[in-house]
Amino acid sequence: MIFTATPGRWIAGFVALLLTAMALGNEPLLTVSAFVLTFVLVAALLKPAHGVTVERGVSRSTCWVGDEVDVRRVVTVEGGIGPLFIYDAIPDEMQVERGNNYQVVWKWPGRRIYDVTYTLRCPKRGEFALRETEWNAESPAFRMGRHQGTGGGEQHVAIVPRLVGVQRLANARAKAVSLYPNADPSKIGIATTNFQELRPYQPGDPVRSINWKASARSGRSDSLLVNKYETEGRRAVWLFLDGASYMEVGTTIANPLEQALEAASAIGHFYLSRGYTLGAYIYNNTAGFLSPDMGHKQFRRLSQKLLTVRAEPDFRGLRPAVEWSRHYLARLQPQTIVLTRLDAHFANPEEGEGSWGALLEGTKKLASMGGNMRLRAPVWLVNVGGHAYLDRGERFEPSASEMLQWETAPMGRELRRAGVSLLDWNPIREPFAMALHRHLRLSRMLR
Amino acid sequence: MKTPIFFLMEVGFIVALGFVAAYLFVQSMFGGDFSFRFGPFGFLDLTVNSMPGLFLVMGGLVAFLGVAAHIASASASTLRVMVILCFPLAAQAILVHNRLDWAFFFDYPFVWATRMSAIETTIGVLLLLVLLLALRGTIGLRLLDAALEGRGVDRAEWLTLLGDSAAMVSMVLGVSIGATLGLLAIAGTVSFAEPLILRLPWMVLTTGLGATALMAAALILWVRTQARDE
Repeated sequence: MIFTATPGRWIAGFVALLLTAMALGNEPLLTVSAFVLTFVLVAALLKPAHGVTVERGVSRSTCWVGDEVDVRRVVTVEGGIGPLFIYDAIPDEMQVERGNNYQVVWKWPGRRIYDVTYTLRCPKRGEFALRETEWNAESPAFRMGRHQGTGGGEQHVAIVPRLVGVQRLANARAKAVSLYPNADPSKIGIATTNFQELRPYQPGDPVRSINWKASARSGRSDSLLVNKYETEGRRAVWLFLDGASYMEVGTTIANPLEQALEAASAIGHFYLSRGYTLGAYIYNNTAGFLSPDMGHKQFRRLSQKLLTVRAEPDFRGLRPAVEWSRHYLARLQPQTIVLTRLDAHFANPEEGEGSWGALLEGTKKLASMGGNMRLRAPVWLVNVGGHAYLDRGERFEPSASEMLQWETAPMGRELRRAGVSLLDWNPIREPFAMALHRHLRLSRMLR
Repeated sequence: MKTPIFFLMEVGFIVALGFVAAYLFVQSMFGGDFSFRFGPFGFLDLTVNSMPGLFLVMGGLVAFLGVAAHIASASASTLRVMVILCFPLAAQAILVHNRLDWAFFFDYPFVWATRMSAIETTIGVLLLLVLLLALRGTIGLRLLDAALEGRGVDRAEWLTLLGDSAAMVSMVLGVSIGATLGLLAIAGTVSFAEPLILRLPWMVLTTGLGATALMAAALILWVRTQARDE
C-alpha cells in the first residue's frame, strides 16, 4: 500500500522544512513546518485500538455434510480509537451462509465488547481447522500507527458424510438367493468369545454377561451394561473404494469421489448397524486399509478414515489391493463392494489396455475367491457415473456424456460375464439409496 | 456513499490544487540581473507571469496532468505527481520572503517579487498542503470502500466506518490548521508585545512569581492538612 506513512517520515519532513526555513529566514516555510509538526502530533496522539482479546467458539465440532455451524466471536478491546478489522480465514471447502467472517467496526474510546456470530455451511466432508482470528487495528486518521494480532485459538470441525437413506432398504421385499447360513446375516447365532460392544441390560440376559465395572463407571444407577459378543455365522462386507485423482472430476464439493465416500459411509452404517463385520481398502490412495471389525466403534473408524481421504495420482489399480486383503477375504468370505468410475478405465485403442485390464483382473480375482461357487458371496461394482459431472450445460455436452456412457457398456458386459453384479449410479439423477433399491429389485439379490 | 463520489472528490481536490498553485505562481515574478557578467544585455527577465490568461492556462494544465496521472496510475502516483507539479510553481512565492539572500552572497543576483504578503503566501501554501492531505485521505477512503465492499462487509457497517473515518480525517486536519493559526496568532501577539516585554522589571517579576508560587503551595498544604484532620 502507498498510504502507510509512519510518523517518522512526517517528523523527518518537519525537520527538513524547519532547517530550510531557518537557513533562508523564511516565515511561510516556518509556519508550514509548524503545521506539519502539529498535524503529526495530533494524528499520532490518536492511538489505534489496543488490548484486544478474542474468544471464539463453534456450535458443533462434528457435523454432517451440508450442515451449518455457528461461529461466535467475542472481541474485547480495552482502549484506543479507530477502525478494527476482524477476520477469520475459513477453509476453501466451507461457505459463509449468514453473517460475515470479515468484520469491521469503528472503535470509540473506552472499553468495548463486540459479540459477532456468523454461520458456515459445510458442503464437503473432511477435518477442517479454523485458524485463529486475525485482527488489525489502524490509526483513525492517515494510518499513523497499526496494531495487529491473533486470538481465539484454533478450532477443528469434523464433517462426516451424510448417511443417505439406505435404511429403508431393510424393509424392501425380495427373494433371498442364498440358502446357506454363512451367506446370510445371523442375529441369533451362538455367541463367540470375541467381544463386540457394551449394550444396556435387557430382561433375560444372563447375569454373567453383566459388566459390573463398566456399569459402575457409567454412573447411571438405573441401568446395567452387558457385554455383547460376536455371534457365529455372521456376515461380512468388504469395501474397495477407488481413491485415484480421476475420481475427482467436477467441483471440489460435488464429484464422484465425494459421492462414492458418501455411499461407502451409508453402506458401512447399514451393514454395521445390522451386526455385520466390515473391512475396507481405499485403493489407488495412501489412505489404504481398514481392518475388519464390527459395531459402532468400527463405524466411527470408518468415518474417520473416510474423512481424511484426498484424491491422489496413484493408478496401481484394484489388483494389489485385492492381493493385500486376500487373507481377510479368504477368512471372512465377505460380500465385496467396489466403488469406482468405470468410464475412467475406458480402454482407449491408442493407449492400449490402460487401467481397464487391471480393474478387470482385480474383479475377476475377487469373484474367484471363496472356493465353492454356491457359497461364494457376490461381488458388486458400483459405477459412480463420472460422465454426469462432465455436463456443464453446453449444447453438445449432454450427448458427449451419453456417448461416454455407451462406450462403457461393453466393459459392463465383460464384468457381468466375470461374475460381477454391476450397479450403474448417476449421482446427479438419483440418490444412492434409490439406485441400490432399483438394482436390488432388478437382480433380486437382497439378502 | 459510493466509489464514484470519492473519485469526483479526488478530481475536485486535484483541480483545486492546480489552480491554487497557479495562483501562487502568477502572483510572483522571477528574474536576474547578470549585466555585470554578460554586459548591458545580461538582464534575464522571466516575468512571464503578467501574460493574460496565464492563471487559467497554468491551473488547467496542472489539473489536466494531475487527473491524467490519477487515472493512468490508478491513484498510485497521484500524490507524487501533484507534489512535483504544485510546489515548484509555489516556490517563487515562498522564496520571495527569504530574509537571508544566499544568492546575493554567491554573486547570483536573482530578483523575486510578489504581490502577496507573507501571511497570504503562508495561507496559500497551507492550503496546498491541506488539499494534498485531503486528497490522500480521500484516496485512502476510496480504497477502503472498495476493499470492504469486495469482502462483502455489511453495507451499514462500512457506511458507518467510512463516515467516522472521514470525520476523523477532517477533525485531524481541522485541529492541525487551528493549532497552526493559533501559533501564528501567538507569534503575532508576542511581536506586538515585544516592546512591552523588554520594559518589564525581570527581577521584580521573578521574585513576585516565586513568592506567589510559595504562597499557593502553603495554602494547598494547609487545606489538605485540614481535610486530613477532619
